[in-house]
Amino acid sequence: MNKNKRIIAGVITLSAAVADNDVLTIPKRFVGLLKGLRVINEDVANARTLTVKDVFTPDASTGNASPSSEVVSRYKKVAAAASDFGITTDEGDCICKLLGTFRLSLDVADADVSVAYTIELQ
Amino acid sequence: MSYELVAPASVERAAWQERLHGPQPKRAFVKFTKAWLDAGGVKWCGNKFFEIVRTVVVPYSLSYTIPGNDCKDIDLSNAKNTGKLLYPDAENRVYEILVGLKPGAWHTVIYIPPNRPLLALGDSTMYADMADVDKRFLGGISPEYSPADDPVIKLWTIKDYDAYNTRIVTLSGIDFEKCTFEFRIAKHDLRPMDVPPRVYTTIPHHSEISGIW
Repeated sequence: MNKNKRIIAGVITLSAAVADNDVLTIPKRFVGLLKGLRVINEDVANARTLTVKDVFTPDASTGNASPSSEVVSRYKKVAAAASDFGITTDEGDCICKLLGTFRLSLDVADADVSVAYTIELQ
Repeated sequence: MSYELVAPASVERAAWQERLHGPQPKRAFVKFTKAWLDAGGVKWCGNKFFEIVRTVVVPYSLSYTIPGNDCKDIDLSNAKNTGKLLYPDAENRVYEILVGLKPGAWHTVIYIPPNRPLLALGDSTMYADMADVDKRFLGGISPEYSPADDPVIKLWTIKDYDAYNTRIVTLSGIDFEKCTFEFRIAKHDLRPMDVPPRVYTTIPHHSEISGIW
């Protein structure tokens, strides 16, 4: 059994202009296991809610010869209170599995929110 | 082209020592069975012995994202536009391909030629059937059975041989799955042998394995 793990870890400050923030795209031959998510809300006035989404276009299959782009909600409602410096999501080995583009969607665009994440490529 | 299940205990696992210079490796020989002549019409290799004179291993992967409770056929041959080009393009050459599957809610069924399941049972109805809840898994190879980091499924391919098709089958109850094959393709250059060697690996034609028997 191969014990080597490929880990991607980073921090993104979310956009002030749009609520949907595309963080990275999982390479084609991997799935991404989201293993850590820490939301930092420096907005002193507003609580924020974060949703993890997975964006990809499936391959043609027997059931769907001409697939179109899919946006799948993988993990919903990570709530961060105003001026909350650490909502850490910990659900054991894996929060959710990502197939395509890792998207973080806020309820309202807000540049005072940043997110630290850890993804294991499998 | 053929199929072989490698018993895990007999697989020589690569260790870093083996990558250093040392004693000369053993010579290796293969024999293509007579069925390659009879069923396949392949004259250059049917019922003949060869020595493997050069080998290079090439890793490769193919990955598909498809909905749950669905399937997709992948042609591994060199067929123009549709094939995934995993066959040699010259005679006196054979590709020995280990096939591993990455984890996920899926399995694969191998066909050769494309409409004939490689693995079936004796009764005329006992072959993989996607519309049947039980037979959907008949002859199916799962990621646990042949994992990507320790594959046990082996395919042999030669130029212009019948096309291998692998049918990806996803389980119900999921929205989508990313199904990834990891291949380790050993390219072998072959030299014909006039005198049969004492020890060799037999490469059977798919007609000797597949079908209902």
